[in-house]
Amino acid sequence: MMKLASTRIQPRPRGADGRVRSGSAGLGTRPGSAVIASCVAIALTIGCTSRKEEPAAASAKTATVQRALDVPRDRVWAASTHVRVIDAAMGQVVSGAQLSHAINDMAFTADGRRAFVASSDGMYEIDVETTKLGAHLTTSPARQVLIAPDGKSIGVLEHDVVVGKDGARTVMPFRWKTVSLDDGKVLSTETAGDRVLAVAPGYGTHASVVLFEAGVVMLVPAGQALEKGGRALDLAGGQEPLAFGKMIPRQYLTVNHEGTRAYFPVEGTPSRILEVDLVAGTSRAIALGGQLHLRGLALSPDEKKLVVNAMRSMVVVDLVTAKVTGSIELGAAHTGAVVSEDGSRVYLAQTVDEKGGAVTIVGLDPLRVQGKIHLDDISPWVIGIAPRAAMASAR
Amino acid sequence: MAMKPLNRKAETLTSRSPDDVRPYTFGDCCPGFLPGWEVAANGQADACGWQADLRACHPCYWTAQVPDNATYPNWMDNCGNVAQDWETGLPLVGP
Amino acid sequence: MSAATEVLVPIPVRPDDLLRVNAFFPFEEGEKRLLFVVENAAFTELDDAGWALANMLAGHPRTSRKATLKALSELHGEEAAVATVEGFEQLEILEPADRPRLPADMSSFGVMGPMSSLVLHVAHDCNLRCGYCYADFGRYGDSFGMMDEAMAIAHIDKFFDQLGDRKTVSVTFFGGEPLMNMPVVYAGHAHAKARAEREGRKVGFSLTTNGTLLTQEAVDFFIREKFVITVSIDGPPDINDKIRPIERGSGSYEKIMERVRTTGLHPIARVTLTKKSTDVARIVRHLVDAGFKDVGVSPVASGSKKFDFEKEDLAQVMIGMRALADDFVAYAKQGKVFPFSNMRGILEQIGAGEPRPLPCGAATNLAAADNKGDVYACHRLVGNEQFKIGTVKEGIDRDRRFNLIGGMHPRTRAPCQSCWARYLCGGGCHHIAWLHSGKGEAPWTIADDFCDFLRDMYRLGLYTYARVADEAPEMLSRLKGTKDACSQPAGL
Repeated sequence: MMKLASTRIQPRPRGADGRVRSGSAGLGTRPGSAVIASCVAIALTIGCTSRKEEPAAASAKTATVQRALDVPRDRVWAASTHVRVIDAAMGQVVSGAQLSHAINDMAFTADGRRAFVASSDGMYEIDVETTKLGAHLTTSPARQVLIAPDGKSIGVLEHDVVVGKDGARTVMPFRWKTVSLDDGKVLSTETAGDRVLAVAPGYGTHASVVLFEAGVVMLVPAGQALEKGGRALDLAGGQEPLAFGKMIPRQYLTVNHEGTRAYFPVEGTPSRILEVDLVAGTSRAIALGGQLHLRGLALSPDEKKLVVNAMRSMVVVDLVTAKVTGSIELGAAHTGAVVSEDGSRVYLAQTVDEKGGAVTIVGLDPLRVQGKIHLDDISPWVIGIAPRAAMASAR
Repeated sequence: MAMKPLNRKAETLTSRSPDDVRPYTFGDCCPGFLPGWEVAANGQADACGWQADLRACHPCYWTAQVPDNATYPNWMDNCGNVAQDWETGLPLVGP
Repeated sequence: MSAATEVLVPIPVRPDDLLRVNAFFPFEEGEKRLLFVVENAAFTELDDAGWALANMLAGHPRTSRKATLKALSELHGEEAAVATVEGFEQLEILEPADRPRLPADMSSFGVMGPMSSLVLHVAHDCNLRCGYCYADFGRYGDSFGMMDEAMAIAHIDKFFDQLGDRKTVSVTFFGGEPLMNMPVVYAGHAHAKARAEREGRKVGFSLTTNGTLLTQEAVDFFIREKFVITVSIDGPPDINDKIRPIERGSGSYEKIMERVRTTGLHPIARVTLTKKSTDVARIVRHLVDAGFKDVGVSPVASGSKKFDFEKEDLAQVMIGMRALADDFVAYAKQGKVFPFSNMRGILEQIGAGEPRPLPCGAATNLAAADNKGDVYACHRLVGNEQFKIGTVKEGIDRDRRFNLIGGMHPRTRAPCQSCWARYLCGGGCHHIAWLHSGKGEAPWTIADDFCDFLRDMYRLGLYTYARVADEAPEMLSRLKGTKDACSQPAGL
């Protein structure tokens, strides 16, 4: 349990006479309003360590990544409301796309040609080579995108908010929509439920998993409509010691290439990853130990390892033995995780780094932080890799 | 001097330099999908808004001030670089 | 298909002259002018300009910075005015009116993290029959009975199961009179110690007793295993014996002191203050002189008019408290800490300056387990269904725990919201609040007279702290330590 100082600090502007002026440019409260929405009126004290791991910067804009002989030339996509594409070997931003809408998720086709982002303005296609915005395929706020294993369609988790005349907002039921990757037409739409965090669909052949904000995770039998629900998964189950009370699943659901196994993180005591076998309809929990804050999940390309973003650290899980094999401190807070195509390293998004953000590179063998690439103009919270060869990875 | 700070809190507060901005960290709060603090799941101000805080926001307490992604999916749209854009990019939300 | 969500527009910048005045508590005592900031627990001494500003701002929710500076300059000159206003801004008494309003820091207690202290009610029986016992002579409203070894071990195991990463844990043996069930104390201790060792944790033990049944064997064990022993004793013989009789009717004082001296125990004394024993200064001084390591007092909570306080009684208690505060300062000047734990606790809390949103560790750090297998928010509330948080079979019910804590937070309690001491007091002992509220539904609140008393206590604490800062400043470092928000119990 971290202890915060209760100080709340903003930079105090000084007038021409050098005296501190009170008052701040920024957000106000309406009289009588109990509600605030400034995420930085308060300063946090914890752990935003300086970049002590960072190698010398080649310029103000970039940080040089340590070069090895066969360093993979990964194209890492880091996104907030815009996308920045980073050549990991060069340690440079090479291109980008301006979307001006909050991006929540991304996915890539297996051939590495097309990218799709789930944003507050719906799903967009982006051409990987040119990073130009392509088709605006759906228009409702989207939380998750997932390409079907057969590569023919893409699923998107979306919903609408209805704003009444008095300003009251109603969150409508979430939908899982399937769009054809051939012609962009909507193939199917079904209701997924209220306040859904993520879906691992069954494609008609096996079970589906639906994660809810309310903390429930449903295993929906094969062929059944999502909204009919199914069996609530026991988030505290498995062989690890008993833990008390409620577990909180987070939205970072990831599936294997066949779409037959789903993984998602569960915060609680101890925190754990749940692995759901969608074919068998069973699940097991892999204990991570402690009370971690789980902010990302990624499968290695060979699907033998799972990398867990525990916000200020990264944990590596061996899926064969279902045990944690190592963990490493990252210092600052990170979101998301993606494993390079050759399985040698992990990229995580450090959402805030100085006046921008960064991408942290962690080598898996040996497990160590290899470097950090600073981004001047975005604070990334989603990260992915555009495949050069077979596998698409995101989240 | 107007004040003689007597306890640790007073000492800490009065010894800060005005330019002393502590770096803040930004977990997944804004992009996070957890129900927000004062704006509860029903979009109305929640008198017991502390619940979200106690449930999961407590490591980064202040983030409890953030509205949830389901009710306000566009909230972060103008905040692509949080450190630079927070002042102008983050709108006020209310019941 | 869908309605587009509306575009939210940023609010334009407000004029920076308007300041909001946050709650603060200025007061004069002795020759000091002091100020306590309600929501961040900062405590300072004011000079004339500061006092003038405090008076100017009192009762005003907003003020114009320019106008305030001007008015203050006229009284005390420009330099002092600027320094004073900036000082108030640093202390967060004054802030830009459009800065978002933030509640006090709530994260200084790990509310829903693992709990660290287990109280085991090993005996629901007692060899004394004190009239005010909140435990109903140990029964807690139910039946007499002892906890059996299996239950104690099951409770301990279940509690350890939820510890997660916690490196320290504490187990307290309680009752009724725990010495009436020593076999279970020994068994529970052995089990907890072994398990802690296996898991690489440190476990501390304590026990509260009426002291009449202490044996050499038991005391040797306590000393060897570093138990912290608390003996319930209400003061000098004339006071104690009237209230704490041994079953046959004679007083317990002699028996207690004889047992303590013979066995060589060096315990803490815990006093219950009642309507019949308001001379707290005499009580505490006596027990300090008698050699108790530390003395803590707790106001009675029996629900009975025979013992519970009325306004005049509380006034008497305050007189005694002021005398004890003088003792504290006198000791401090000699570099010693007066072993009166209530005062020391308040001073440490003021020294740390962390707002406290809950009065104690009940249901956050602490759980109390009884012989029937039920788990409650604290030792005072065992047997009280409204405060039950789990069972030995199923563990702690997270939702119940969560909702209980929420119902007990000062924000949810109307009178607390306008009280300057709300983040020092944290709402007051839940048990006392429950009794005062007629035992209805949450949120339970303490009655006015008692709240006045608590405010008087905190005000006395603030003043005493300021005195120590003046007259024995070297002692202050001992009082400014890190005080966990919830480790100062409101009851006992």
